[in-house]
Amino acid sequence: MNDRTRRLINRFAPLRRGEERLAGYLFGHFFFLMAAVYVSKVSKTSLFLGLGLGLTKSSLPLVYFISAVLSGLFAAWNTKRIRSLDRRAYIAWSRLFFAAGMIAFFFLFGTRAAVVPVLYWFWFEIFLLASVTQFWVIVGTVCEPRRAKALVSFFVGGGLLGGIGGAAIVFFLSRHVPARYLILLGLVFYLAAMALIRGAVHASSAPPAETETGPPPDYLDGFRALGRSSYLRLLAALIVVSLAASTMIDFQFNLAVKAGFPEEAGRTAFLAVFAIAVLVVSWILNSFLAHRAIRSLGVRAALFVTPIVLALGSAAVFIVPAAALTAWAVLVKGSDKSLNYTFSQATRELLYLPVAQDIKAKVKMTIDVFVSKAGEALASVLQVVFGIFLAFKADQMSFVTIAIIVAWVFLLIEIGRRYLPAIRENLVPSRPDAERVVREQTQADTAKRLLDLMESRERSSVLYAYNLLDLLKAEKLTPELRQLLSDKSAAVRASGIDTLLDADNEALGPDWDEAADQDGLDVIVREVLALDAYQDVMRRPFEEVAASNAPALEVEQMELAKALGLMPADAPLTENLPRLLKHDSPSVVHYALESAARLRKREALPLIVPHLGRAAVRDRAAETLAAYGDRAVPVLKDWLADFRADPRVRQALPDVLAVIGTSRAAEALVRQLRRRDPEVQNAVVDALFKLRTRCPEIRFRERDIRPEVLALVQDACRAAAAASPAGGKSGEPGTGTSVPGFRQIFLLLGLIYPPEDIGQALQNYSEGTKRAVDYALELLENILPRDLKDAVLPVLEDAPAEEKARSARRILKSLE
Amino acid sequence: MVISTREQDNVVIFDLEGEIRRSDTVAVSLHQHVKEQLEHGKRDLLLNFGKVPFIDSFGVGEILASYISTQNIGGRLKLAGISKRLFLVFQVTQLTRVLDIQDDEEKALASFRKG
Repeated sequence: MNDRTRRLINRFAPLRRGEERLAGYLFGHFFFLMAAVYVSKVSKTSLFLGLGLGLTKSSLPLVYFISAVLSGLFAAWNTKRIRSLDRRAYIAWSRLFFAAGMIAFFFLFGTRAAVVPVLYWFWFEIFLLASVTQFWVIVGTVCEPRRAKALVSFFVGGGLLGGIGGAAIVFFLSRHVPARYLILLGLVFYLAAMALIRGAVHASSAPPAETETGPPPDYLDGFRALGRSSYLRLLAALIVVSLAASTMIDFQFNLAVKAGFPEEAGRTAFLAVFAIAVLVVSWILNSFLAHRAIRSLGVRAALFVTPIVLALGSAAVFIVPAAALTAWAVLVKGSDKSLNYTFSQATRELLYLPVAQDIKAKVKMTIDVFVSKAGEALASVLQVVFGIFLAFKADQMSFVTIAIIVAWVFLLIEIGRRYLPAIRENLVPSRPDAERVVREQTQADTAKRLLDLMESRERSSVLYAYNLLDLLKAEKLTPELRQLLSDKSAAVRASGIDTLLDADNEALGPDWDEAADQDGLDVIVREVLALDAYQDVMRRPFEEVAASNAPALEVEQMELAKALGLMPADAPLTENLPRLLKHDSPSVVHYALESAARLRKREALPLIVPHLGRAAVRDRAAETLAAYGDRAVPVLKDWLADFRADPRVRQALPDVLAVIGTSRAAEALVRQLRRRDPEVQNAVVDALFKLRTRCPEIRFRERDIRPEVLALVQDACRAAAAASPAGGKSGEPGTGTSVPGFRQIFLLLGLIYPPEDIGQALQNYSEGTKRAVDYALELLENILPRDLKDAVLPVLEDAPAEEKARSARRILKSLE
Repeated sequence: MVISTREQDNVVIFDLEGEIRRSDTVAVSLHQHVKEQLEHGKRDLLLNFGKVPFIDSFGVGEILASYISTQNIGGRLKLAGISKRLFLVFQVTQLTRVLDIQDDEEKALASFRKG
């Protein structure tokens, strides 16, 4: 094949070099197979309707019922057999059966026995089921799975053209040959299809598997799975009523065609044209409208399109004139078929999304084989009851159809209510926030104090005493630890506290009697430190220590820094704190920050903030600033906005504001968010989300957050639009987590929509597996308003680079 | 403190050597090292304290910050070879409820494999 031809074909099918012949054979096979199917279908209906009118009205329900049962049983048998029998032998015998069947029916129709069209109806249902199943089995055998998936729409296109072609030939021949001769036409097409499949098998490089691997389907298991899930039962009920409605419409259509076209030739021609029209309209709907409509309406709303259209169509029978009944029936039936092939199937597939993969595999087969047939059987029973016993006329049967559609709508409403909870259930369980876990389940602060205690014991008995006092006063100190620290009994030594502090039989704390004493001691210490006399006496020594740069005085400076926190905030000696906050030694600064957190003097704030840039004391500085609370916000806000400040400080500030957690802190963060400063933007978004989850009472205005979400969307769209299709792997979808800014998009959405849902969706999206991403996006689909959905979802979805670039350009244009 | 990294069985091992004190901070802190590995897509991390004779509250802060960063993106962080003293501190302050502490590197790697 030359390059020009290949390029032309590649516009319709992603063919690779070397697979043109195989794909061509399979395309041709499905073309002729569908031609055979549509020829047989048209002739089947036309010949059946050739029975007397009364016969048609009473025999149709029976035919529906029996064919539902027969085809259900055959499908169940066929699915099992095809796995266990030698595939070539099975397919060869079934070809023989159907070819012989066509010849047999050609002769049987010549006898004009009334039962022959009925038998042919059943035969056709089995022919249709078996042929289509065998085609996909053959595709699965001769093609590699990924290639089969890539080429499926190419083959379906062949089937569509074959159906149109077959029906078109029937239309032209119907005026010249009786309908039974069309069976032979079907046979010709069928034999051509079989010849092409031989060619496909020979052209395939994959060795054909003789039998299918995997266990046979267990339908009972499928029924059990249905029984266990109320959501699945609703889904099954939905399929039953939708197929029941479809069968009722088919019944009315057949009666109308019978009455409108009493002659076989005209009837056959009409049915052929009808088949062509349905195929063409379905193709147009599917290719251009269905997915867009589903996207803009949303899955839940799109599900209502079919039943509402059919209900209106069915109700219209009461206002159309009698002469237009055939046209009415054609429109309703045409709508049913077209919408069923497009909207209904696509949206029903999406309803399976909340169902776990292993359960879906079990249940879907049971639903496809048995439950769907229950719908046809139900309709046939209703036709007998209303059409025969109650003698409803064809138009009056619309009451029954409408009643079924009302049940359909109620089921959709109920499914709609359960859809989102079912999606939520399938999201990967939310990982608990680790920081919250540490904060709520452990005593991390106590651990740090304990280590400070141990360190200070080696450096200074004064510092040690201060630290011990602090530790014993700590609210969260467990009684066991309190006991350990203040008891010198043998039991304590045996417990391993020796290890903790290298105690060697010493008492570790003061010889306190009961817990009350440390409170008393604390009071005494504070009172002494607050005395005016103490402040006077200690002023010069403290000033000398605070001002010194001598390394030898580091320990005394640490002691001083610690002691300052025990004094009243207005004590003169606390004026030494700023000097200690500016010290080079992280150990001195550590204690100075601790005291600053207690004293909370406003003038110390500008000295504390820069320590956010020092790794050794960053955590301590953050805790100190958080201890200031709302009073620190104005200073922090200014630092955050100052682009000349140390980036490490600026990047640590949003988290401090989140911990402060007041509305002023939230406002400061939002104001910074709107500045879109790239240096701190990620930290600001993280902090906002943290604040939202920690302080649910704080609300963010949509008008503040939405523009920022859209700004991120625009950035992602620009990146997608600029991505070169030649550079990327054309046809390969980009993984979701490669979308720039996706995390920030989710976190910002969590500020204006439920953060638990958004947080969980983010975790699923980050996981990156197709199913987890689908769930995450489905959740967003159901939470976000339409305009945000239209902007955000195309950016987050997996799609080939070219498609993403197109959507990106469209979104950029709409956001201008 | 000296921090070196290596990889074994898909686990990134941080070998820490020397005292971990706030007064002796290095240019790149332990938490920053951990975040770097997480950004490169690593999810299983082991902190090996076998050669760390002393750790102060700053060091505990670094451990907890590393734990939080790892947990929040679905990774696993384990500690091995911590001193008896430090283990006791973690025990009495209930940090053993969240920190996965193993006796030594071998047991830690085995626990990663177990899942």
